[in-house]
Amino acid sequence: MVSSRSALALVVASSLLLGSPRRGETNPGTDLDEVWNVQGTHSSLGAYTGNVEITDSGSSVTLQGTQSFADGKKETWTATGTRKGNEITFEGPSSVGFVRALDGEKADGARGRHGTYTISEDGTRLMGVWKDDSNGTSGRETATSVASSGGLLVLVDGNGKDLPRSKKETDGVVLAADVRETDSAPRQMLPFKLELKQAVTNGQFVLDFPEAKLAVWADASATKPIKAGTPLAARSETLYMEGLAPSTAGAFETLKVRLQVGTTVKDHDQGKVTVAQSAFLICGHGTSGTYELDSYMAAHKLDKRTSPTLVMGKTEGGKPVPWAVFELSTQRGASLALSTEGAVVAYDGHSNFGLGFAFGVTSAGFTSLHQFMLISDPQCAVNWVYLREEQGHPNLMFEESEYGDDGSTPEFSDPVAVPRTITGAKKSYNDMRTVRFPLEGGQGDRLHLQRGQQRWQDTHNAIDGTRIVLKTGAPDMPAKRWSKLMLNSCYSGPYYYDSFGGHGTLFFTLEESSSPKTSAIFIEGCIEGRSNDQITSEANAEENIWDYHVFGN
Amino acid sequence: MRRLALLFLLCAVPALAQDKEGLGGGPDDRPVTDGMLQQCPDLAGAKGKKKAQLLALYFDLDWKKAGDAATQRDVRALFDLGSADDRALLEKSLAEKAPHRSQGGLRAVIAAEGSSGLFFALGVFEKGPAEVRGRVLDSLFAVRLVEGWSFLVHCLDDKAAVPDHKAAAEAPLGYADLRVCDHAHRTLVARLETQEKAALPAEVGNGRGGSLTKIEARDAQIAALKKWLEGDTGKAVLGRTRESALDGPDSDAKKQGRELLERLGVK
Repeated sequence: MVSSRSALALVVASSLLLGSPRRGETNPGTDLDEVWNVQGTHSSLGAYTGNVEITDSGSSVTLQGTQSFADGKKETWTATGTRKGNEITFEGPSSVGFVRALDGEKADGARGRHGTYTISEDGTRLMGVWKDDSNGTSGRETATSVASSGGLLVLVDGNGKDLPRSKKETDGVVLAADVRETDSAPRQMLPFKLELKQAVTNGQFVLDFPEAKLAVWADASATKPIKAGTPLAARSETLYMEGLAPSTAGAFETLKVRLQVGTTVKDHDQGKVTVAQSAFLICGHGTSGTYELDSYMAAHKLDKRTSPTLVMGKTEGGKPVPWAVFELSTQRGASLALSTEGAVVAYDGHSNFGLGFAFGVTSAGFTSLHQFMLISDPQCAVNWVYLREEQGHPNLMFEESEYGDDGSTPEFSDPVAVPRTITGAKKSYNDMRTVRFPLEGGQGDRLHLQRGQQRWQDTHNAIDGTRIVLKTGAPDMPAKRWSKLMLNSCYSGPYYYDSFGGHGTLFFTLEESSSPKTSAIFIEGCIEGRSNDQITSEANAEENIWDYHVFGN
Repeated sequence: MRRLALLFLLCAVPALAQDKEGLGGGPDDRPVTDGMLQQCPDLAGAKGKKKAQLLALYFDLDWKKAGDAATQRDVRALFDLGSADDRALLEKSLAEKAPHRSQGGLRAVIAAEGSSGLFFALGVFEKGPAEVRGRVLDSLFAVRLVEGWSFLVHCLDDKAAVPDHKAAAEAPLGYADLRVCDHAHRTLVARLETQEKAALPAEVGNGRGGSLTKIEARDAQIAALKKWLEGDTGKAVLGRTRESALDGPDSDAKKQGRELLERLGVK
C-alpha cells in the first residue's frame, strides 16, 4: 500500500524525473486526448501492463484504463478528473474490478481509484500514482503516448464512398436511428472498414463506441453483433454500424478502434459518427401526400439515401444537426414515430372525428371501429353517415356495445357533453364550443339515443342529428415520446387536444385543414431550427388555422 | 415554294405554342408522379397547356414571389384571364376542397395578374356560388393593390353565411358556418400578422377557431379589428400599399373594374 505521504513524494520525484514544468505551471500546448501504454506496479498483484485513454474536454478529464497482470488477470477502471497545469487529478467510482466480474460489483460508498498523473514537458509521458480505498490497493505507473497512424479505420459515407482521412474526425458520417416500418424493411446501416497494413502477431482490434447510441455488426444482415470492448482478431475487414438513438442535438458519437497485443496498444484511430434526429411524416387516409416534403428533401439531402432521407439542419442555436426524415403510412409506422424519443412528427390525413388515424384504407373501406388506430378521448362523437357515405367506409358498422354512455346511470347510451377549453400559445379558446364525453357523470347536456331507420343512422339526437357518441379510447396510443407533434387534420385541436396532450409540444388546427404545404412547413421548420412561433406563423400564412401548446415532457 | 412555306408554318406554330407551356416558357414534359397525382388527381391524363397550368397551380407557383417579375411573366404566359377556359380552370380550383386544393397557386395567380387578377377574383365573389367566397377572400392574400385591402376590410361588415357542407359534416359539435366577415377577419389577421408583422391587440383574436367560436365572440373580435384598422397604426399599415387597380390610362377593363367595385360597395 502506498501511504499518502509516500504518494506525494512519488509525485514530487516523478516531477523531477520527468523534468515537467513547476507545479501549477500550465502546459497548454499538450493535447491529452490520447491513448497511453502503461507499465506499473500494483501493491498486491505486482507488475502490470496496460493502457489508459484520456479524454480532455477542457473543463474535465475522463480516464478509462485496463491493466493486465502476470497471472492473466485483467482489471479495468474509469475515473473523471481535472487538469491543472501539468497534473491531472482523478477519482473514480468504486468500479474497479476484474473483467467479467464488473456486473456483480456494488457501489459501497468508498472512494474508488484516485490519484494523479504528471505530464512530461514534451507531453509524451505520464507518471502516475493511484490508490483505491474500496479494496485498499495502490500502484504507481508510467505511461507513454501511442501515436495514431490514422489508418486503421475507414468510414464509408451515405453514397458508399470511403470518407477521406481528413474528414474522418471533422465531418464524419451520419446514421439514421433504427426505425423500420415493416419487418422486411432494410436496416439503416453504414459499412466501415478496419484496415491492417501489415500483420501483427497476436494482434487484436478492439472497438469502442457508445452502445446506447450505436450498434456494430459483423455482417450486413445484422445477425452477428459486436459489443464494445470485445477483441477481434486483427485483419482487414468490413463491419457495419447502425444508429440506435439520436445523438444529442449539435453533438456526435465517436467510433474508436485500437490495435492491441494483449493490453498494449500498437495503434489507434477514431471517427465521428452522428446519429440523426428523427422526423416523421405520417400519411394517413385523406393525406395530401408527400410531394411538398419530397421537394424540400430533394433540394437538401445529404446523400443518395432515401427512406429515410438524410438532410442537414440546425438547432435553434444554429449548431449543425442532421435529420433523418421518414415518410410512413401504416399504423405500425405511426406507433414507431410517436414512440421515438425526441422525434418530430407530423400526421397528415383525416381526423376521423377524433377516433384516430386510418391506414391502408381500400375501396371497401373499414367495417369496424377497431380498424381505426384508436388514439382518442374515452368517448367521442362521430358522424357515422358521413364516414360511410363520404369518407370511404361504405360498410362501416359499430356495435351497440360501442355506443357511448354515462356509466353512472342505468339508461342505455346516455353520454353527457361536458364543456372544455383548449389552450394555445397565446390565448385560451374559451370562446369556442368544444365538449368531451366522460365515461361517467359530468356536468353538461345529457344526450339520449335516437334510433334511425338503419342502424348507422342511430344518433344522439340532442347533438345535431348526425352524430353518435362512441366508446373509443386510446388502446392504440403508443408511449408518448415525441418532442413536437403536428396534427394536420381538420379540427385536430378540438378532437385530439386531450388525448395527445400532456406531452411535448402539440401543433393543432382549429378549423378545417386543407393546405398541402403545412406538414412540410412544420417538418422543415423543425429541421431548420425555427422556433415554435416562427413555425406557427409560417403555417398560418398558408392557412390561418394553427396554434400550438407546450405541454412539456 | 408556297406549299413548302405553308407546311413549315403548320409545323412551326404548334411547336412554338408548345414552347410557351410550363413555367419559364419551355415545354412542361415533366413526368407526373404518384405524389403529384395524390395532390392533384386532375393531372391524370392532362396534357399540353392544362397540364402546365395544373403543375404551376399545385406545385410551382409561390404566392410569396407573386411580386417578382419572373412570376408575373410565368403566370401571364400560362393563364389568360380573357380566356373562358382559363377562367373556368381557376374557378374550378377555387371551388376545390381539401386535400386537392391549390390555394397557394391561386394566391400567386390572382396577385401576379395585378388588376386583372383582382377583378377576376371579385367577379367570382360576386357571381360565383356562395360556397367559394371564403376561398376567394383567401386568394387575395398576396394582392398588393389598395382595392385588395379595401375589399377585405369592406367584407368585415358582410354577415352572410358561407355554406360549407364538408366542414359542417366534419367539424366537432358546435359548428356554425363561417360568414363572409369571419373569412375576411381570418385572412386579414393572418396577412397583417405574418406579412405586415403587425402586433394586433389581443381583443382581435387570431382569426382562428372561427366556426366553433361563439358568434358574439366572433363579432367582438371583428369589431376590435375594425377599430384597430381605423386607428393610426392600422391606417399606416394599410397605407404602405399605394398602387391602385385603377391606376393608368382608362380602358374597358378599368371601367368594368370600377363598376364591379361600386356594385360590391367598395370605396
